[in-house]
Amino acid sequence: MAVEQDPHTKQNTTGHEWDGIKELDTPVPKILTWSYILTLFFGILYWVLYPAFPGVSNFTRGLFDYSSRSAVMNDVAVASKTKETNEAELLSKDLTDLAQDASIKHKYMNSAAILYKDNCSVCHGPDLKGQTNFPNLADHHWLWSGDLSEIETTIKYGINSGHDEERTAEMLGFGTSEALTFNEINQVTQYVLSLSGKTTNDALAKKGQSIFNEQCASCHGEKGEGGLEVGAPSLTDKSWIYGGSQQAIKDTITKGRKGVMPAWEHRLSPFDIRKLTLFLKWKQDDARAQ
Amino acid sequence: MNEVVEEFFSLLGLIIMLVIGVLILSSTNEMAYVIHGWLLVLGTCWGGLFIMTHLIEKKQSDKSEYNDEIIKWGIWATFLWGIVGFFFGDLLAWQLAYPSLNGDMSWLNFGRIRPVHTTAVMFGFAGNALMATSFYVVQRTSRARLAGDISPWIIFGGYNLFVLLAVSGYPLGITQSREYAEPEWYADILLLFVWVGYFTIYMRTLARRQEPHIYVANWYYLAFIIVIAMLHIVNNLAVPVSLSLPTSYSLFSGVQDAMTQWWYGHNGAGFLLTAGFLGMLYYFLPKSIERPIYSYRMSIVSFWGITFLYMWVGSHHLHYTALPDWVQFLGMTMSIILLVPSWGSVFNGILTLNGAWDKVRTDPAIRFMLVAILFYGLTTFEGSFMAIRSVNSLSHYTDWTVGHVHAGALGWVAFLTFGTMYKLVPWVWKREGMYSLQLEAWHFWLALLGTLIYVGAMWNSGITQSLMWQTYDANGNFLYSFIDTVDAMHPFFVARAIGGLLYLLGAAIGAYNIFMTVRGPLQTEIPLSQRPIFN
Repeated sequence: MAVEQDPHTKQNTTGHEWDGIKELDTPVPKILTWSYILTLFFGILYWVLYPAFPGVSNFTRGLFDYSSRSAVMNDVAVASKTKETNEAELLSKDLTDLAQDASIKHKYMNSAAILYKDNCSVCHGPDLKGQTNFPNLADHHWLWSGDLSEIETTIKYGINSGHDEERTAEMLGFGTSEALTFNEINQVTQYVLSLSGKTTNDALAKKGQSIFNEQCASCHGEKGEGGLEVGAPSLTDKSWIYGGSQQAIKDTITKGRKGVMPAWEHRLSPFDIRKLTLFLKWKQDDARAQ
Repeated sequence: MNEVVEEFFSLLGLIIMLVIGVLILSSTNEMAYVIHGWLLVLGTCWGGLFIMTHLIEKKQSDKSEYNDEIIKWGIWATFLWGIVGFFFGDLLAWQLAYPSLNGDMSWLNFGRIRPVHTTAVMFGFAGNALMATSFYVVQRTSRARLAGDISPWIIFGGYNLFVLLAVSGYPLGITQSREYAEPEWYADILLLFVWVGYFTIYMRTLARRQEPHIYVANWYYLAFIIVIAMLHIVNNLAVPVSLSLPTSYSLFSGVQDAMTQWWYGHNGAGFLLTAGFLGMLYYFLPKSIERPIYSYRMSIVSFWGITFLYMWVGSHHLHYTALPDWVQFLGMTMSIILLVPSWGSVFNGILTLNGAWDKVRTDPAIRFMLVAILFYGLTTFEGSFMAIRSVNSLSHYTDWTVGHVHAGALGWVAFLTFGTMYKLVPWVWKREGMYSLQLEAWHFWLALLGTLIYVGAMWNSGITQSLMWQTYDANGNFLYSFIDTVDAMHPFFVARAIGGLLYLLGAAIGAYNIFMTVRGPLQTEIPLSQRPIFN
């Protein structure tokens, strides 16, 4: 095929043709050539300034001697310095004083609520009311006394968390260890139900009482009021972590329970742990005020 | 001679896959794996019977005609997988807006059906479209019949068996968890055989061409075939645990593994979704509007530019990770340099339309192609921009990335495929034209609206979320919790799902239009100029 001129663009063809398709020999538009040179220049500039090419045992460091790692370490250091200065009062003052201080509440309530949503609400619920297997934080039933410093300890070190300072708490499985027979477990279940005022089979409950005194009272107390020292819940109120139905209680006695609260010491700063402790207190105060 | 060799290697591949299938069936009782064993056995037996019938009946095909039968099947496969892929894509979009739509069933779980969507659209829809059009283009631009009478069918069947193995395995839990390369080792071996066969057919057809030069479209198709082979082999290097389990372990680990996966992933976008489709553009655009390619020189600059540069840029997916800084900066700078050769193709495409702009108004197929070029330009610009580290710190891990990918996938890849199919279908089935231009126009506007809603929603969602993540008070405390950002994205999720629904609807109309065209009357007379010339 011969080279010919395209009547529309006045450009010559290359003289090739495939299935009727021809090509023009138009030069590359100037703007593309210059943009290509510009981006290439930009690339070369970056290669000179920043790490870019590998060597045998190392890489070119670039004139800026930039490193993502040191840049982020630096940012983190600056940020924690800012926090230590601006939020120093959180650690220097006593927890109970902080909890009473309206200006502290005003200042930290928002960021504390966000911390709660990001870290706690998955288990304890957006409304703090917990769910099956996870304790309610909105009622006044506390496993470890509800004292502010005790709450802070729980957040910091967790329960059965594997942390060196962890709190340990375990409900033994009286069925799996065969400490109690099937019938005995039925009897204790009836007695436990009666402690919170539920209707029960009185004959069975009566038998259950003596078993309770032997096996359970050492942790849960003579009257089932709970033991703050060992994190044994009260059995007399309407709060149930693992469910308060007859079947759920029977399961708990048979198989035991060993829930885990993670330790947050290494994931949250001491400032943030304080904020979360105060947050729980403030939420309870708010609820009581309503 | 050639045919004997072709039959021998086709049979050898079939026998190896049959043996693997039988071994799987004899060593496992895991439901999903058993199904895959049967699929392999039945698929290869079909292939074996096909070859035997061919040998016994000594079928002689008409060597004076182009081989277009295989292309027809390719077009059906394109639309079938397209509809499946778009459907699952939209289902996922609704699941993101309303998570309970997974019905609490493991096999409808987001993590399991997301690869169904990506595999069905990339390998099923785009892959079949490329295979079908490449067979069409290489024959026309070489003035030669497709090499081999048997192997194209074995290749086509094997390829679709691979896609079927992939998408049927994911919901049942079979995956090697490598993004866009989820199928397990036996499916990977199948694809390897298929791909070697595809490459062979393509090269043999080119070798018997009756044109002095190889047309640009074929450079791009070849780049696509060769690079995909390379990516597939390296990324899938793995050791199967045992025959009785559909499980394997990659040869790579840690950051090397991440880099291998993104080298694969980005070049998948670069060579399957870009180079292959540029090949499609370089034939179907000038052919449809009967205009010469604007600049041969720009074709060369663009081709070698993107072929050389794409290989370097995968690391921009791993900015601010454990990947060494030098790899990140190298990937970022190469991504920026890649912009101009990409735009070379955009210039070439748009300027080729000079002298035929009226067709954009009158012919929806040409409109599809033009919009495809514009979205290609938009996406390549956006891609280079997002590869800049500081921009990436805003866009990474957000829906902006999802929007970017879909600007390319919906706007470029699928728009070009639709435009091409509306031209190709009447040509291969020898029809006067499409059944309905009006339905083509409906498809165009639904697809465009769907794409704009989708991409717009994802830009908003991504940037909103990223800005919320990066908002602090004076002491460095977050102003929004993570769940707040999820709440903020919800309206955009719903908008995206609606956009996707419009897109799916458009594709269904397109499939109907093609079906009616094929059912319609033959062209009355084939003009001499459209008949193949062999001499």
